[in-house]
Amino acid sequence: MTVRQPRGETATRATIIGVGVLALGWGLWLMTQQSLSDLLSAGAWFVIPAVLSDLLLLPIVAVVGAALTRYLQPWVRLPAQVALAMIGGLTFIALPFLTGLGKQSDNPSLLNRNYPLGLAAYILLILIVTGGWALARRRALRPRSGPAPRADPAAETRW
Amino acid sequence: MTTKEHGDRRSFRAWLIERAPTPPRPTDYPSRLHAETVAARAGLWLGIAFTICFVTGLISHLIQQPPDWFGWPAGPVWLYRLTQGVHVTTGIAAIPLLLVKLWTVSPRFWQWPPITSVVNALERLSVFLLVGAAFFELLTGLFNVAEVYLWGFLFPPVHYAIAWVAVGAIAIHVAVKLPVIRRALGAAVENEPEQPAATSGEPVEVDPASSPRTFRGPLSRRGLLGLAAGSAGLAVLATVGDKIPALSPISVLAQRTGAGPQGLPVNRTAQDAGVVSVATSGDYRLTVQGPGGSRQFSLAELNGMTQTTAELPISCVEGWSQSAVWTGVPLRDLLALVGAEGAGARMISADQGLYGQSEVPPNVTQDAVTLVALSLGGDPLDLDHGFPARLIAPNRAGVLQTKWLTRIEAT
Repeated sequence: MTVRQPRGETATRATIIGVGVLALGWGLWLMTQQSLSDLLSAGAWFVIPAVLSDLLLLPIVAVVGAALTRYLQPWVRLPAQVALAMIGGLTFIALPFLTGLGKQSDNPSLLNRNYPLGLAAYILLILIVTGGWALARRRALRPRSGPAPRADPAAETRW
Repeated sequence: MTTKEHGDRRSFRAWLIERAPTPPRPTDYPSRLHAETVAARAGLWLGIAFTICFVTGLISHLIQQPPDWFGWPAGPVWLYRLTQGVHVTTGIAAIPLLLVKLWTVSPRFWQWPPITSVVNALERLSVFLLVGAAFFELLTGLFNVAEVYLWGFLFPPVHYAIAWVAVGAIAIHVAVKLPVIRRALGAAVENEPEQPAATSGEPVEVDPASSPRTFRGPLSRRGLLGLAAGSAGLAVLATVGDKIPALSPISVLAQRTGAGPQGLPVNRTAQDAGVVSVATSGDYRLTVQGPGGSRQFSLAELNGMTQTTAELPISCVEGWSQSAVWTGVPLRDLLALVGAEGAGARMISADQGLYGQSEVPPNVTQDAVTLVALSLGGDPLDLDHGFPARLIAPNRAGVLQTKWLTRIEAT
């Protein structure tokens, strides 16, 4: 598929790149105002999550996804995929709260929720909803009478 | 050693080499979800989220460190509450979006050879800066909300600096990808030729014979985008309750329930600020200094002046906000007593820490509901809310609502 370059698009792209380089350079210049130890600390938070996402998180998601989509019973694949993605995303956001490191003994108004219990409640809710969905799919995929259940390829991709 | 043994050993080595783990290649990701139509849409949403975060973050930065050319109105009273609440909420919603976007394009990370040309090297560098800055902003922001400081630097200036790196890298990325973005957004999500995004536009030609067939898993492309939006929505519901009290019961991951002394949460306690003895001392005096000289007021004298009551929110930079009813002396009345009508003011706390002082520009000192507050909800301020006297002004960051006031200087 080829794309016809609209007239002036090259100039537009060059301009956006120019603005981007300026903003990026300004940010890096601001960083030079930091002490060396702060720079190293910030550098670690800049590099480590990006590298870990490519070398650890995304490969794990790929392997888990490959397993889910190939080895589970067809009726449970999609609900399991949705449940795990939602639980994973929410747990990712919950992590700093779950550590409890931010609590301050003299300030009971801060971080004053039961975060593990709250997360567990959301996970349970996700499991109940997606579990019900999976059972409904199972019923839909299995003929009322007849031989062994066979996957309906169309139902596979039904959202 | 017999020839047979030798042969066995060689074949074992060959067997080992054959099975040695190798890094994946883009073609190892056959899922139809690795598609440019998905990447462009997730990227568009992410771009909108980052733009909102950048603009609202810039507003907060300028309010806290105003350059000469910047002015921020005293009303509407809820405006900063809105912009900062949107800043934090959008940042949290962007986390699932970023993860889905990165997952969609993740096969590209394994391009082989890793660098094919100078242009390719520059593009990969800009993508690294983009991913690094995006994770940096979202993670440090999230950890700051949870008050988990697993770093040595001061959060505000570094979060601010890397925000510029992030928007700059986004602009470069959008410009580089503009033809692909146009093509992908113009196509129906599911209708793209079934070919992984990893190979479309790849600088390395992929041999079609070695390219596996696209794998149609149970999740459709539209379904993946729905999942990204759903996860972002769930993240918002789970955290937004410290900004919208009505949602507090279901916001199980919110920073606060909204409970606190006098029904209002506290960010920095008197004990933490080291002001307990000064604030509770019987001979407390508030000094007000202006061109007409310097005057001192005891708490009783302040209470004896004409009082104003107003409902104003505390809007924390960490996103939480809550409205409360405050009563106190209008700041402009105190300034007028030292000949400083129309002047700005520097509010100085007994707190010697980083946030122990704030500047109030003239447009805010003149506002009728900019108060040196003495009571909250009809009762004297709790020690943790700034007893004996604190600043409470409309449309202002909580960190600038200086507590435990000891001195006000006209500027």
